[in-house]
Amino acid sequence: MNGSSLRLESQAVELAWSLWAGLGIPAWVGHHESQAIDPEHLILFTAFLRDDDPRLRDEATTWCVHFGRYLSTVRFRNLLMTEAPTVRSAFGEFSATINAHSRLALPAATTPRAYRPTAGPSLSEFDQHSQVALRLRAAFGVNARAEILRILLAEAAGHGRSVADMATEAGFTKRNIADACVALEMGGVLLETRVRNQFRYRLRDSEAFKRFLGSVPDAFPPWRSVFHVVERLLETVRSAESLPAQVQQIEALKVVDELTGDLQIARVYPPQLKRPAFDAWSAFTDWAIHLVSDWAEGRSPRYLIA
Amino acid sequence: MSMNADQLDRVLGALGATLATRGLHYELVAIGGSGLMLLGVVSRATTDLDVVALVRDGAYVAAEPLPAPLSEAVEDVGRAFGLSAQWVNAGPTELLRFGLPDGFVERVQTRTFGGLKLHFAGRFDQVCFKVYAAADQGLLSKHVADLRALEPSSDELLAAARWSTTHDTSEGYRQELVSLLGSLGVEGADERL
Repeated sequence: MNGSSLRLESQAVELAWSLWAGLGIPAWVGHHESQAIDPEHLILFTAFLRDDDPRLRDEATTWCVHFGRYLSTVRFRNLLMTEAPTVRSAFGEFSATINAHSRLALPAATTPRAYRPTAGPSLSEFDQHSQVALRLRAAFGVNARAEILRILLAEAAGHGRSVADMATEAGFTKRNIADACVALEMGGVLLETRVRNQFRYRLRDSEAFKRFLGSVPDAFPPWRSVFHVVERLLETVRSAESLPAQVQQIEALKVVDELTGDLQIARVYPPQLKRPAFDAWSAFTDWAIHLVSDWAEGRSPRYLIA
Repeated sequence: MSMNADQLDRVLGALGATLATRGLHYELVAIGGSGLMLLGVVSRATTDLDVVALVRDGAYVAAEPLPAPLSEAVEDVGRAFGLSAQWVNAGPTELLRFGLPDGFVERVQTRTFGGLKLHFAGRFDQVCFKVYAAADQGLLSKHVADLRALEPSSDELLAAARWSTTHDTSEGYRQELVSLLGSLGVEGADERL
């Protein structure tokens, strides 16, 4: 591997370490304490990194063995349907290893890897900002309700979210989300409003709900898109670094095109690559390294769309 | 974006390199302006590469639809060079169904670009296709200019016209052919056809 892929890989690993630190794993980095962390997406990302950092992989496995009851099997199953084959395949081994050392039955399990369980992190309460998703699950159950509440907590503008919109982000079916919204409305937690021809839900009293939770993060990054971007960038830089320059440029433009949707969700500008693209590769790798570095260090990306 | 011969060469080089790095190899048979340009017959710019057939196990087969991995590579290269996603297209593959001119395979000129082997129709076959296209699309079409650039003899034009009547047997088409041949200086075309 050359400099670009090594740097990118190291930043991806640092991002994962920092996020796991936010979920309670002791680590020397911790840049995401004030950001909500999505456990299932982080686990898929960690599985994708495979052996890039064996200690990270094993610490994350240990965390899952100890706190796996706060993970959603249904959500994993739904999320895996839209993940890349590389992620699905990597998760198979990760999932099997966790299942082999716990009472969990995470989906898509294949063959467990060699792993020796160790004492897990000592957590008496999910009281950190970054643990809000787990806190909600501990309080409301590992189900669609907890995901709806997390999504609506992140809804700073207060315009509410539709069922279809929430289902994609929550990783539950529209039916699950709709049923849970009705129940939460009956329970006095949500309010249904009509915006033009669309029904949306929002928290009935978001300030009271935040006070009840006591620990609400400043930011709810769209981790699904962030991880998709990091994974594809890493795959592309690894696979294309030894290719002829003209093919590198073609691969760079291809991946940027493929990532358009996720970059929009993450509100990040794509790199400015000239077409016909004769120096696209270096512009692309510079952009990728800066972007992943900003994410790894918990900063707003320098390419953030204002 | 339109391409001159150098640009087409570079784009095909990029496509061949992309295919090779993906472990893909394709053999295509091309006709039309791109082929004429690479053969040095015409200098007008082109925007695409017309593919009449794929070569599989040494045999010509219909090019439509192009294999998905090839289409994907074509799109990726097109994106990098500002070309349409279908800059390599199988539009003329219908010609294969009714039959290529006799001896076509022996006359092709072959170039290899990494994972892409391209067989370009030979000069006489280009005359055949251009006669067919020019009679179909009229005397003001680009095909007439291409035909003139190929400098075919009267015998070649007549042979090409006879081949084209195997693709369109209508009397209306025959009249267009006679008119085209006349405009290209073939005397007594109606009787000799």
